[in-house]
Amino acid sequence: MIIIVSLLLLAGQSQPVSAPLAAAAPGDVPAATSAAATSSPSPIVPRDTPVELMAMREVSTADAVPGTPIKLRVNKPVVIGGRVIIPAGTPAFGEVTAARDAGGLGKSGVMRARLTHIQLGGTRIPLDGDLTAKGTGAGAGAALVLAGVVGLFHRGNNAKIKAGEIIAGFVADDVTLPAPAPATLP
Amino acid sequence: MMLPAILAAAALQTCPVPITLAVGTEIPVETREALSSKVDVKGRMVAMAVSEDVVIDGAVAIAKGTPVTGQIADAQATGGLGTSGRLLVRPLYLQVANRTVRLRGGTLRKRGVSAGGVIGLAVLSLATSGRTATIPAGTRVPAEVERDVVVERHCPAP
Repeated sequence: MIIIVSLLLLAGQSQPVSAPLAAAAPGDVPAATSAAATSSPSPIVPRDTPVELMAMREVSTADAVPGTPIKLRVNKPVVIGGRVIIPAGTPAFGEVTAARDAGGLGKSGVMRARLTHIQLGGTRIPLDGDLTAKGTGAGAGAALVLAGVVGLFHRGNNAKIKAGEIIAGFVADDVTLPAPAPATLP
Repeated sequence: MMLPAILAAAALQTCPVPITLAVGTEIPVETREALSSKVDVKGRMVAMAVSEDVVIDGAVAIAKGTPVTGQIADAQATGGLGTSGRLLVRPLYLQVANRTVRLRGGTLRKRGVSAGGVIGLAVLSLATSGRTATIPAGTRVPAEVERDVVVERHCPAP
């Protein structure tokens, strides 16, 4: 008896609790966006903001090992609300996570890498994005799709990321930048 | 009890209502420019667009024609030893009302000789043009939402 009554009570209580919670979730979002739009002193870079990057130097499976850093730079300024939040040329980084050198017998090199962050002054903006590079070899397409790659690197037998290559990444988390924003950039 | 009040508040607040695009929601995308393995290089950003309205719960969440940014994921010019050109294009993201919707799964592969490829969500059969791989403007590329995102849905006309 007591158990049933308490269960009923619990059920009765959880109903009004969960309803406002569920209702509040969609309501939160516009509030957050409008806050981000109006707060001009300290700009927020929202998660999933697309960032176009460029590889600064070639990374090849000829010499890359897991952990090898990849130097990149922001190729296109990130503009939010009409202001340049991340200027072009800002350094960005990635790292090789797996590399297999091109072997004999036509074995092609394979490299996996991920984007790590943009270094904007003292602020570290985390990045999201994987890279898969593969040397010459047939039938690579399907595997690439499954891996959800940002780029496929395909030339010669070594897998490489060429200097000047454009790489797409996304901001991994909401980041609040320090108040004096670099707004006076071209 | 609470719901009508909240709904009323939401209606008063703004006309567009938040709508969630769940992971895996299919977004039909098409290319907006012609691509060729002869001139296009890996990494180049490609203009694409949503080819049909994306309707969720009876409302248009993403309108037809919404620009989509894609990228050439691989490009290989016709090689010396009879290697055919290759092109791989994939949609990256689209933006609606300052929200970024990340896309995945829709890599379209094109080889110079073989006509077609099973990629992502659909079987695409494509015309060949010599050994150069080409992707004409208007080519459909299946895509789906990569990450849950809340966008504002357009209100029905009064």
